[in-house]
Amino acid sequence: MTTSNPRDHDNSDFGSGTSRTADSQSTVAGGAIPGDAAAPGKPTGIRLDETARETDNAAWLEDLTIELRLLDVSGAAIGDTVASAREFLADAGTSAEESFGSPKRYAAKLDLPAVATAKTNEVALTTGIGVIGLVVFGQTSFPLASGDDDLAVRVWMLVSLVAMALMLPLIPRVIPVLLRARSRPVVVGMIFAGILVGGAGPVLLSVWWGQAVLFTVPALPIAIGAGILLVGPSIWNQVRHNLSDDPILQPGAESDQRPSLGSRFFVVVTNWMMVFYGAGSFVLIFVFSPDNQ
Amino acid sequence: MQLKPWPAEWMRAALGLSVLRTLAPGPTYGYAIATALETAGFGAIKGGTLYPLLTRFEAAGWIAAEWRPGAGGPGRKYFSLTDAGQQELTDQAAHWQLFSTTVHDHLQKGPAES
Repeated sequence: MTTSNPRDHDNSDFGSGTSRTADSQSTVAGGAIPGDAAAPGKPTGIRLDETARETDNAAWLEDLTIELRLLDVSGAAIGDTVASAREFLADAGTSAEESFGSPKRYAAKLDLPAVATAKTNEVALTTGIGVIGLVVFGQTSFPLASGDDDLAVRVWMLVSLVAMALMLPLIPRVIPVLLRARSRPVVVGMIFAGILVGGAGPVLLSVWWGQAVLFTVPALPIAIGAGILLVGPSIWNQVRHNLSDDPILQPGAESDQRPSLGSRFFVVVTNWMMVFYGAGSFVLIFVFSPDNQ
Repeated sequence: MQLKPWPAEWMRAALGLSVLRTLAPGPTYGYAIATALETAGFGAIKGGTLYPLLTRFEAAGWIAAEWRPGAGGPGRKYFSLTDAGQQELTDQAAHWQLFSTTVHDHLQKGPAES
């Protein structure tokens, strides 16, 4: 078939600077062509620049994937979009930021159709159930650690539960912020610190003045119920993630292109974070309880 | 050679039609389209400008996309005009010619005497 492009029927792999058109070639020190990373005899400084750019571009493409996911774009469309951007960057030999702007803005500009509008609400719901399970589970651990069968429900416990319920609507807003800041641990730490100070502060104050016992309930059944609420959402999310995930497909590929090990680790840790925290706290309370010393 | 960049508003108005025209001779891919437009004097067209346009045209049914395999990956995404796109190009080109003539005549003659 006749084509109009300057590299007619060029199916060479990405990044081949030698196939660039004469009009678009721009030379740099040493006469090398940008993007031609494999060219032998290229000055070391240029190779380092190109390596740094490729690293930045890979991070940019990862960010673009996250932004498209946050917009509920299908995995097939994400794979196509990312591959198109990668192709253009390899051809142009430029930085992704320069060619496409910010990943967030570019993802919005593409205006690709969303496929799963209920996903964010589902995440908020399951996370909220898990948080309530974690709080109640934590409150039962003290009487259980000290050998007491009854849980004395105090004013501050109810206040903390209400505070958690009030914070739940913020979760869908916090998750995208955390995902975008995932490569900046200081920012993530500050967000968590803000949540702790803003959320736990009022609760701690209520602990100070809200020690009045409202009623007592058996601690063990409550702990078991809370444990189910804590573990259930993580199992649900894990199973759903494995069974009904919308995988990111490379164009033309039938199987999914697995995300990086770091991304998968991040997803698993995030999903099970509250369970780890609850289990760890429970063990520590038991170990350091005066009755078990 | 065009040294001063065209005003963004002009580019926004003309780029879509110009991209369709670039696809008229046959299937081509993103960077080649950008290069062809740059060679034609439009200035450097960034991927962040070009691909949203191509995505919109694909959704409108004016262009079709096809991945052609490369040596070690999905290769290149080639875009081609569909019949609807060819018709759109013909219509828009004629309309643009009329608009261009109108603007040109107005700039030459100024407002009509009342």
